[in-house]
Amino acid sequence: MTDLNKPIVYIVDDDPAVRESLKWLVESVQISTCLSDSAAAFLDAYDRTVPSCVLLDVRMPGMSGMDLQARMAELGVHLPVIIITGHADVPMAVRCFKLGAFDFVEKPINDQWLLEIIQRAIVADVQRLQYEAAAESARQRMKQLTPREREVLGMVVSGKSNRLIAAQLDLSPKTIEVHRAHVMSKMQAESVPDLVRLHFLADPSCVDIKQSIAASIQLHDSLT
Amino acid sequence: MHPICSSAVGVRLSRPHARVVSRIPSSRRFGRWALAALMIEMCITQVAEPREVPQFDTILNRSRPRHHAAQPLGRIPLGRSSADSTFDHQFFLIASTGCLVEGAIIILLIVQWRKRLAAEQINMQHISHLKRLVDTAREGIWQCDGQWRTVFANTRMAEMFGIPLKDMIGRKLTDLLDARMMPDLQSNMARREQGYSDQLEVRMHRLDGRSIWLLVSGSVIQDEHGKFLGTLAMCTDITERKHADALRDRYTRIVEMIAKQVALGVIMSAVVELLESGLEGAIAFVMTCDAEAGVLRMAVAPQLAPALRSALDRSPMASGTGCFGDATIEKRLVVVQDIQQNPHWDTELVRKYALRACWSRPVLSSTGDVLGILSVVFCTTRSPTDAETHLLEIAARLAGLALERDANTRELYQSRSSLEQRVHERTLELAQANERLSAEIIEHQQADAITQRYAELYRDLYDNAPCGYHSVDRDDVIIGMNRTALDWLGMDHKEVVGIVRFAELLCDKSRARYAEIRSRLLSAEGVTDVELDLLRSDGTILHVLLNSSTTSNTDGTFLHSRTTIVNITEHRRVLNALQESEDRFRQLYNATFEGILLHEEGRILEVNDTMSMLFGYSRAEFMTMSRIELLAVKARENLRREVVNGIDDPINEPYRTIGIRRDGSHLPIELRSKLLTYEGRLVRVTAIRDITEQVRMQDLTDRHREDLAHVLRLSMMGEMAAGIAHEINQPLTAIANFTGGSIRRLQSGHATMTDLLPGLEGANQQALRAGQIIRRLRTLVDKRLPQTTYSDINRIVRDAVDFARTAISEYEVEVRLDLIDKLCTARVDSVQIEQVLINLLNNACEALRDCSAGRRIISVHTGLDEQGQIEVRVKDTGIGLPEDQWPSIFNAFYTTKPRGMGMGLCISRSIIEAHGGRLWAVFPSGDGAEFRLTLPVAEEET
Repeated sequence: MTDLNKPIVYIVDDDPAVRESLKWLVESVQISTCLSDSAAAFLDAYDRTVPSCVLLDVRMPGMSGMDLQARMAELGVHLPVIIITGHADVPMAVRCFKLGAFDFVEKPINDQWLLEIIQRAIVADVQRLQYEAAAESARQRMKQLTPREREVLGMVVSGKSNRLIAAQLDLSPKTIEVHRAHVMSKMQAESVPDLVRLHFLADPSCVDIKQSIAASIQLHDSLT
Repeated sequence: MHPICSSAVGVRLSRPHARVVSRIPSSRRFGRWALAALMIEMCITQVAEPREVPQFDTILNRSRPRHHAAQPLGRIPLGRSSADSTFDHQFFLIASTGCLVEGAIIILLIVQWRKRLAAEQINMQHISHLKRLVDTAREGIWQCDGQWRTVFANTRMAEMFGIPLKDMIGRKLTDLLDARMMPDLQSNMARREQGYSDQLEVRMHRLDGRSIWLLVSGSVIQDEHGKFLGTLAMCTDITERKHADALRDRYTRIVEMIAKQVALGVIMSAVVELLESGLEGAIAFVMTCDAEAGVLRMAVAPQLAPALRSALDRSPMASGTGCFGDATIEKRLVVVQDIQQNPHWDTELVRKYALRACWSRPVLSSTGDVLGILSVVFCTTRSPTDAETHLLEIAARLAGLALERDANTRELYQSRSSLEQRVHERTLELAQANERLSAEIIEHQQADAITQRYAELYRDLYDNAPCGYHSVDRDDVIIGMNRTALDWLGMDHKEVVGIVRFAELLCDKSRARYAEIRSRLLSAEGVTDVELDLLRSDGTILHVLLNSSTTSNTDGTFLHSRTTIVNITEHRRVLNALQESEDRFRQLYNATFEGILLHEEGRILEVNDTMSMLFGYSRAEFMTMSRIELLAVKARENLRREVVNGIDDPINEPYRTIGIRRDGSHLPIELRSKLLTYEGRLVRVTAIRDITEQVRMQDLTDRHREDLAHVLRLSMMGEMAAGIAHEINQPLTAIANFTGGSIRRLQSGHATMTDLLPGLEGANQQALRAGQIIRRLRTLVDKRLPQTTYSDINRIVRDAVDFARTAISEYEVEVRLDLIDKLCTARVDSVQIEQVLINLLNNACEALRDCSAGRRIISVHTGLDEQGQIEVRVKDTGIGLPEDQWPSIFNAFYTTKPRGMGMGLCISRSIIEAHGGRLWAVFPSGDGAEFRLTLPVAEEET
């Protein structure tokens, strides 16, 4: 397990003086840094398990800062990006934010401000890592379910009663109760809302709540 | 069907009852037999004597098929025919029978026996008589059967074929037939078999091989049904007649040939053939007389061996020299029975060819001259018979005829050809004479034509010569004048010749001069090159040059004078024009704005008035001066040096220097000099122009350019502002970070002095970096006076690239430097050159903006070009420029940039040209553009 209390700030700038001076500044608040003179070098060096953020110079030979952002999105790298620019104008800022930048600073840099941004970025990254860890744990639990249990789970989280599920699966309500108990224990869920949360965590895309609610209402009407 | 044995039943009865039942195939069936038997029975019983009938019955019964063995039936006398008692015949029935299984053959021969014996006796007498007749007949008598086999031949017949009589019987005489006769015979035989009798001449071969001709008269033998049973023929030997016929034919043919004038050789061959065919075993040949040589020449001898032929050739025509000579001399037939015994013959040769007899007969002409000889030789000894002699005679006569006729023909031919020859010669002679005559005529015509042409030529020369001719008599009356002169005067021949005196044609002022000439001419002196003015008919003046000579009598009295006049009107006009032109030129020379100076080796020979105005010296003062004294002191040295260097010789290019006036003030001048020949000497003419105003203008232009360049530099800075700002921002950012970091460390309280050191050092360095950038910008932006220094071109290029770095990095361009490896110095204002290069680099970066990242390349090259000048090339791999825009790029206000002024390339070019170089662009076939500039290399560094 990685230490969430030892974050790293990646610094990517082609000007060695600027690079070194940023390192000097960031390390003055006891945060480790990792220097890269190009976007490609950064992608090589990046460790996705450590909470981190990246200070990225927009203007660089080869892959520019914004090119790198696009590339990171492709690769599924989601650490916070702080863009550093010499001369910022509104269109550029909009582009950066659209590409998912965390924040935006202008040269020469106000050190207080920059350090605050870095702190916020790291906190955000820690949260992101924690969320990803929880999701992974939920996915692991889901894997232990049998196909029938997964089916029952799907129906439970879409808000169907035991009786409804039994009717739909053509099983006795008793059997459904047994399946439901297994699901609760395997998923380590304390309540149905907890189960819904875990299910969503494991697979945010798979549940279309609206659709399932509509389906249950329709079924309910047909039964009554 | 039963096996059959054919038989005949022949019944011969007395005539009234005769009934032939023969050829009844009697025994095919028993029934038939029975029928036949019945018939016979009936006949016989009718004729048989009654006492004999039972016996006949017995016989018939015996012959019934039960009796298998053949046995004679016996002779049964038959009775006399009751119906015809006049005949006293005794009939016998002789019969025999052969029996088969189912049938019997009965041959019944019923013979009329009576009186036959008496008849036979008479027949025998006839036969012996006939036999005698047959045996003694001259003709051959011969009979054959149906298959042409001889059944009878008489002795004569046998003799004819040389075959013993006994061998004749059964022989087919067709075997002896000459093969050539076969078709004739076959048709004859066919006719015979059809029953026709006729006569036929056939050629046969005797058994000994000789051929004989027979006349065969045949008659056909047939049975009562017309079946061919054979033929009886009478054969007469007609060989002799045939031979005679053949000879006659040949004879006739030869005569025909002679008449038709066939070639002699062919006729002679025919004669020889005639002899050889007429004389059995003869070899005949003909020799002709060669009267001049007195010998006989072998002419035709087709059968004679070549050796013999050559041996007999050239036999002498003399008596006692063998049979040929004797025959020619004695003109008769000479017969040598055996030449092997004859002393005149070459016995050995003759023996070799086994020759024996030789008969020679002279060939005589109609006048009795010997023409040749006709000889035959035999391999046997023999003398000619009468017929043979006759044959020889005939042959000799034919040969004589042929030879004579041939000689006549030849003579005729010769005479005819000699006549033709003479005619031909005469014709040739006539033709040659004719040809000579026509050549003479042509010659005469040509001579006439030449004379005519010369006459015309001289007439033309006189009339149309480019000078006038005339002649006058003692009284000055014109007695002849050519057309040229008349045309000049505008007069007609008729109104001048013999009427006008020459003096009347002159202008008034020339008359006196002419009177003087006249007196000289009359005293027989010639005059040359006298200028006179003639009055034309239209009143204008004709200037002429006159030359005259005189013709005098032997006693010296004047006859007439001959004069040429040359029109010099035009010449005179040109001379006048030249004079005027010279005057005008002199005026110009003095009035021109340039000072003109003529000097020889520096010594002044001539000046114009302008020189005085320029320098303040008088003309007289100039003449005492040297050229060099007109130059300012510091300029004199330069001129000397350049004269030494040969630059002055000749100065075609204008040369700028400083002159000095009489009052010592300086005068900027431009010289232009040229060598020319003046009064026979090679002198130098120099034009001097006052360029004070020009120099002032130039200075002003230079200053304007400086200003413009500066403005442009500022504008360039403006365009580069974003880049510059970024560049300055970098060190500022770094400084802020370093100091910020250092402050935090200090605030934390843990930091030691050494901990802080790297941050402070970094801040320090970045502050210096910022200062450098600012300084560099200032050099470019400062308004300053142009400073010309000796600068290394490579350093200028590197500085320019450094300046352009902002644009270069902004557009992520790669710059490749390819710099000359030796020191290359130019005397330039380096800031201005840098400005040009930065401008080019900026343009190049701009052009590369839209290229893909890897292809943004600028190559900068320094080197020397072919003229030894410094050359800088700035090449990009950008988008280039459309061809239609190439010519405009150096124009002012031309730009492709949205915010450009369009002055960059224009001012760049003027900067480079002000430094004595050139700036131009090339657009290579690939993408991109290349700008090249040249600068003169500085010779020395001070």
